[in-house]
Amino acid sequence: MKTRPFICFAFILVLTWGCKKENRIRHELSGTWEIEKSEIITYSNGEIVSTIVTEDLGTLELTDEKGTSPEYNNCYLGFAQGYQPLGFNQLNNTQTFQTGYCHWYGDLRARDRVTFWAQGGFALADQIFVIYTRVKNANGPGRKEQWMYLQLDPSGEIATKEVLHMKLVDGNGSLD
Amino acid sequence: MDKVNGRKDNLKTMVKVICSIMLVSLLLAGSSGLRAQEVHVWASTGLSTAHNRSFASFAKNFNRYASAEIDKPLGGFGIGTAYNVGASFDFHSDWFGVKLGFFASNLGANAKVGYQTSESRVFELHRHLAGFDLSYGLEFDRSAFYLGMGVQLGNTIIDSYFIYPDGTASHGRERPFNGIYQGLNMGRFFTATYEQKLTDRFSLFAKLSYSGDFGKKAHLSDRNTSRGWTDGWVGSTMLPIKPADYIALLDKPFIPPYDGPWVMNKFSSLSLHIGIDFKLINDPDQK
Repeated sequence: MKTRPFICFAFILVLTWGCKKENRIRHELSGTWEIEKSEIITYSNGEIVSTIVTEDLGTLELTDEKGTSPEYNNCYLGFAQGYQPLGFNQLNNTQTFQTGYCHWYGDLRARDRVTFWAQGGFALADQIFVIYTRVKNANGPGRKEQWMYLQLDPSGEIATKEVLHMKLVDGNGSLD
Repeated sequence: MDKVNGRKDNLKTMVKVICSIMLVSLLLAGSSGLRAQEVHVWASTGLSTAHNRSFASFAKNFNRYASAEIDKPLGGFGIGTAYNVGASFDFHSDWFGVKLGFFASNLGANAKVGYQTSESRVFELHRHLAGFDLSYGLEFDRSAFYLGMGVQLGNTIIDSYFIYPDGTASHGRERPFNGIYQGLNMGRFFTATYEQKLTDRFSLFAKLSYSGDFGKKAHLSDRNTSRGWTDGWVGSTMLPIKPADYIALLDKPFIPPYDGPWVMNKFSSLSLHIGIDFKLINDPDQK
């Protein structure tokens, strides 16, 4: 039994193993996400004070453009009239947000976060980041996730928790 | 200083020897003249330590600065679990055997700090490794004992997240130290394996191994937090004093000056595995 094919196979396996995971994660996340529901949970002294639920809040379109550095893929904002997720308020005064988009990226080798960012601050010299924790992961069109964003009070306790119930309605986010 | 240089030279020599043996073995095995007598596949699971000296230093300082709030101090990664799969090409004589193998493994371990407020922070370690090894051993009637060494490469992730009293686990940017810190690494390992035949094709084995990463500059980084700390945190209960002033950072700063120290991507592990081996392709002479 010749060993050469097995050795080659082993080399290829090792070389490809662990690579391109970022691409897989980005591909999983890219596409048009429908914001089915938003839960805004308000806390006081660690206790829930109120929960406000609103539905049908528009879309987020996360693109995956070939030839673009992963951090610079665009997120097009299709929020329903008068609505904006809590976390995105931080991006209000950034450059591209006013024209309806920001940038986005996933994790390099984990599936725990989705990050949105844009240039802002004085002379647009700062990068403003918003990180949502992916509570539930999805693997394709029609799958659902929950993206969570927290605001703390000065003592470090949760003041507000926003949970976005997301549904991937069009998983073809690649712009080839 | 001479002692340090001597250690460096020894390490370099050792690496060269290991790499040379691996390379020669691969070239020999890959040449058309050599034929493997058997091909085996195997899977194993076991316990493994994951010691990182710089993380231990980070933990010590972390505990110091938050001592008034901590209920259970941050320790090391302790003992984690590992899963491995692999294949090997076995060459035998009557009593002597050589195994040339390749494998992939996953190691998971946690370090945790508990606060008096029922909050906690978890540092979740994941190591995904793959590599080659070469083992030489003595074979008996129904058992065998091998000693081996090899090289491995892969990536390390330390996923640091905060758990609030209501169970909410957040990876967000609202707290310092939250982040997914990752880096690539390469290392060498040494193994001692005892095999016991169950049937003609199946064997059970127990493997003790020690591994250590190469290099002194490998660090971990998170693309989100590497752009600096949020100034608003400094002075709050979450971060009383600027961290660079008196504690080690979790990752190398993105922007100079690179004031250290920070946690290095350099681990050493002692692990014990138990697994099952299946002879996929038999020795042609035994047909």
